[in-house]
Amino acid sequence: MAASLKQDYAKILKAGANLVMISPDPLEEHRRYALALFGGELPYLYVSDSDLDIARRYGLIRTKEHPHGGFYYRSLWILSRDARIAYRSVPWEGNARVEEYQVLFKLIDSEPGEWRATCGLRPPEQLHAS
Amino acid sequence: MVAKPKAPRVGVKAPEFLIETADGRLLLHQLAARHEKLILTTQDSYRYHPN
Repeated sequence: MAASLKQDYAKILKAGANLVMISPDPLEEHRRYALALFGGELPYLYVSDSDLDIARRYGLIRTKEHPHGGFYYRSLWILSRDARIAYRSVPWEGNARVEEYQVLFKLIDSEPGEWRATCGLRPPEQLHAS
Repeated sequence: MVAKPKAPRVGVKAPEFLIETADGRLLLHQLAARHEKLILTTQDSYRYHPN
């Protein structure tokens, strides 16, 4: 997901939108991940929800652990200028399904994104082998 | 059985939180006001979901 969004962030800005990624990882962990996989910081905004406060208020905590681990739903939200929710997808499978990923670009009237099924700059099998 | 928490509905104001930006810390509604659309996306820890 990070690889796709990093690649397509310029299209998001060009459409007059912006992107905020939220995860339970602390900011330093997010930076280490970006450095290890991409050699630098990821361009979009990041919010660490380490105490799961945002997850609770947005209804994002799974009642059953994900098969790969974790209790935090992947989700997509589009807000209008007055911060009203114009669209929500919980859970969102934009990491696994290209048509789900493209929904994001349609909703902001952007040219299509270029979804990547990789972790960072390397294929997933190399990431896990290192 | 634990009830699944409810996600806020389409059409309501998004719950507020603070966002660190190049212009300092902004509330969600302040950042949204600066853009045609604001995208929020969430994911679990990279530890579990590296992609």
